[in-house]
Amino acid sequence: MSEKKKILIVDDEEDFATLSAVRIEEAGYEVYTESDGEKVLDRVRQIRPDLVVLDIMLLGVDGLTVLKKIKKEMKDLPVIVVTGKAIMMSEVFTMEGAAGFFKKPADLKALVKRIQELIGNGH
Amino acid sequence: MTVTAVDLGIRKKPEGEKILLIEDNPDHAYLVRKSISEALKSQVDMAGTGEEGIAKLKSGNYDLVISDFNLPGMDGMEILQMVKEFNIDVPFIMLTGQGDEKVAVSAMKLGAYNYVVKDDVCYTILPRVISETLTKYRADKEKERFEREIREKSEALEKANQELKKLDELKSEFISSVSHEFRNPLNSIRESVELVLDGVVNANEEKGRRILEIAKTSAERLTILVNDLLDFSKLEAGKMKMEKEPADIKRIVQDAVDSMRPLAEKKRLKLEIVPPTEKIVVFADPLRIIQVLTNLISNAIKFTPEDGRIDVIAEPFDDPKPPVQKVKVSVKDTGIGISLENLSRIFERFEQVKQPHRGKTPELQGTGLGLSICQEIVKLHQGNIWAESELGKGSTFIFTLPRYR
Repeated sequence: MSEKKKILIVDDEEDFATLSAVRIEEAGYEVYTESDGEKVLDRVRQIRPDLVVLDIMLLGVDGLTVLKKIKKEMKDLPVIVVTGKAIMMSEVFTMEGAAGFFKKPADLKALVKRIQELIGNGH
Repeated sequence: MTVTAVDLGIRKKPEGEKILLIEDNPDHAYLVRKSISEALKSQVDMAGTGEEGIAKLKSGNYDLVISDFNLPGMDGMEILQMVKEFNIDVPFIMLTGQGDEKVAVSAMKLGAYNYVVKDDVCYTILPRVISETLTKYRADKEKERFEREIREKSEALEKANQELKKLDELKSEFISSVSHEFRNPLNSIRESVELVLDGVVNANEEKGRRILEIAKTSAERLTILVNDLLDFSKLEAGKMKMEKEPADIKRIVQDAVDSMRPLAEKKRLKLEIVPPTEKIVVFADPLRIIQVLTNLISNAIKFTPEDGRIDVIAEPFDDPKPPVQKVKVSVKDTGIGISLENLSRIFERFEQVKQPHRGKTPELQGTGLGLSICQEIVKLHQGNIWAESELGKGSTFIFTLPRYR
């Protein structure tokens, strides 16, 4: 059996992180969560995830900056952006290399579907 | 809009008007008075010079002035100029000599209402000229008044319109904020229930329980939100009744602190009361003041890191303006503090200072209405509420209430 694909969820809203983690785990992925925007890059280096789900409203750190940093270091790592800010434009994130864009409250099944499209099934 | 003299009912013969005649020649003066008194019921005052005329105009209320142009000292044009300069509002008829049309034209330009050329027939036409002048003058005044009224009314309408627009914008903002506040917990509930229904998690297992806890706290959050909204709309509409009674402030503080202690202990926060040195009785609705206090204490708990400290202090306070004896209640924490920029906005509705790890204690998430409600309740008690803070050191929320005597 091959190793499970790894997904890192970056979100400081615990409810959303827990619910999406359970939903994504169910689809067969191994899920890691991080609530501190400052630590995202370290966690990415350490875990080497196959995909990142990034809440752009992260406290303290501008989510867009985090996205840029990830893409600079790991150009091919798909990042799905989730945001609670209605005025955020999906185009901006697509330009910065986001592989998907969801507005909160996000439909978690749709989120899983997008993950499957991007990196295939968990196993 | 045209206003005619007929509409205004002012096309009537002059009756009892006070007319000032400025004329140095007694013969002419006699003839003028005679012609007026024969045709009209007006009262005619005399002035022999321009100076005398101006003095009379300044002191008395005249309905009309008739002035000769050729006078010793000031001439008729100079008198007219003075009348305009002193803002004496009175219709002016100039009497000019024959061949003096230039004077007549200048006088009309300067604001005279009419002129009469002194000739053989002038005394017979004078009463008619007076009547016409008065009618025209009154119609002009009425028109001015209408125009001013219309201008004022349209200005008031414009202002009201602007205010309504602003109110409408605020309402839209309010609704959009409210719907946003509702959507997140609703979505959490839906996702949680779906996870159970889809069999992803089992309610009897640890993970399933955690998911159901999320649904539960989200539902509780919605309940708080609905209650806050109801309170807020009642306060806004002035429909919230304060059931005021003499109450011991120490008891109120004790009740509020007791109800918040379990939450404080969860975060290992020291929650202490500093009671007043004397007994202080306030005239207040105890339940509403407890509501204010629990709101402030819950904020303090939310924004104070573990092992911090919260003090609730009650002390006498003499409000200098107006001089009233009050009690000052402070909720002082050792929390993260509020920036000066945020400090000015926190009492506005839906203003929420972002806190770190806001998801850790979802039962404490605010609706952004709490401080607005506190402010309204304190105001209804003729008290004040404000906050002082230093970033990184902590915040103090203070409110005052009048003492009961």
